[in-house]
Amino acid sequence: MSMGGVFLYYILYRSITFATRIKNYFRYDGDYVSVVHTPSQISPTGCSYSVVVKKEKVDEVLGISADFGYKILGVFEEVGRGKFTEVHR
Amino acid sequence: MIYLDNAATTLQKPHSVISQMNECMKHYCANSGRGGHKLTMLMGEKIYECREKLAKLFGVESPTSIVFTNNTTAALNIAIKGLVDKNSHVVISGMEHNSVLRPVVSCAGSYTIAKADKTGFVSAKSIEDCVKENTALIVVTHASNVAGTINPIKQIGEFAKKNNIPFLVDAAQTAGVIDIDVKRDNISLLAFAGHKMLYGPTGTGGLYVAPNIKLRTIIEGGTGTMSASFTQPDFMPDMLESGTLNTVGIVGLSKGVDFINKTTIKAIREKEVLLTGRLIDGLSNMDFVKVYGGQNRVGVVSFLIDEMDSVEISQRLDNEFGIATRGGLHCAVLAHQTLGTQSTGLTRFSISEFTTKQNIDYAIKCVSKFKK
Repeated sequence: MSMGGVFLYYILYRSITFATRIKNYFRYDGDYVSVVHTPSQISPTGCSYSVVVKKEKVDEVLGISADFGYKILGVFEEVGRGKFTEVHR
Repeated sequence: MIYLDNAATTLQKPHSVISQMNECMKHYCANSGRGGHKLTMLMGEKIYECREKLAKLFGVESPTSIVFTNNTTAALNIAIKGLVDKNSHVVISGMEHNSVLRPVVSCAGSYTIAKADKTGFVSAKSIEDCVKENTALIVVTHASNVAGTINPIKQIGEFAKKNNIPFLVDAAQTAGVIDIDVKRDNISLLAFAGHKMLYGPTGTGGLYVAPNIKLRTIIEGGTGTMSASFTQPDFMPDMLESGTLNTVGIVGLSKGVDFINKTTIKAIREKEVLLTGRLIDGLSNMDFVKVYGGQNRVGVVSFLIDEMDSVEISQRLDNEFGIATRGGLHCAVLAHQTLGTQSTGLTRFSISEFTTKQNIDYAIKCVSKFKK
């Protein structure tokens, strides 16, 4: 998933409810925030849902996730169509 | 038909509820949280939207603390069976519905029934007097489905909190007509109906679970998440929401909550008090009618007519006057024992936001015709 040639970051959550809450939290920001079914290759638990954002938004999303007490299953950068690199933080 | 059986379920729903459910069924009623296509994601947003609205309505901090169920009974069962075992003692009030009584009897080691007064009022003191060292749960109806009397949940909640005992409130009759704030009222678990005073369709309801309460699951299965795991997710709301949700119902419920917010609970309650008072006054003026319940009540008014069976009264109101009511024991044998009406039952009028003054006056006029 890319936006204008910029590859996006996938922040993985255990529940669609968590991911949707995060997306809605940023609903008035005007930044790109989307929820998708996590691609199998990066989903460590079978099915999960990811919040997809641009690089600049990642820290903000992780911060609010911590405030809500949501465990993050991983953060991945999409480096090519269907290719991901885990981002270690 | 004059519909006065709203305590069972509201018949008239806001137009927005019906139109949104219709829209959903026609265009986007996919399975939320299953896969990732556009319609499942849209449905996921709609479900979350409703969760968020309910959380706001009840003063809940995190929408993830709200679990959808099919009705209040399911919510009460999830709460009681998830918390209580054979080592537990449970305190319930003498006005509880069978949906509290039966699961408590089936799974608690012991239980004590806190006495209500003759109007169906359960004082905080009567609850306090029943608590034991191993009391694991206190369950009280916010307002009885038989007497309508409103119970002091804030005071009971204060006592429960002070003694570190989880407090489960059955809000089947009050959610949508009385302001409920789980924090202010010290509620650990709140079971509510979606299809009554929140004006959603039948098959909707929910349970609030406080973050410090850990329930065992009574239903396990597909949650759309953590699918590689052999065990149930241990986080809310997924752990308590296995299987396909009533998506179209929840979409309708969401619009019902919008209706409550737009009309405001204050205005809804004011109208309810007015119409209920009018009904009680009208019935009480007839010397052959006995009205049950206290002054401070929801829109539930149960009564008996001299020497007549309550079911027969209901049948006659239906057949001769076109009024829908409910006679009998209302699935609440404890409440009828408290009121002393277990052998006769009661005939119950119950109103909603869509009930009019004319409906009430017509009901009073029809009851007056029962005089021999």
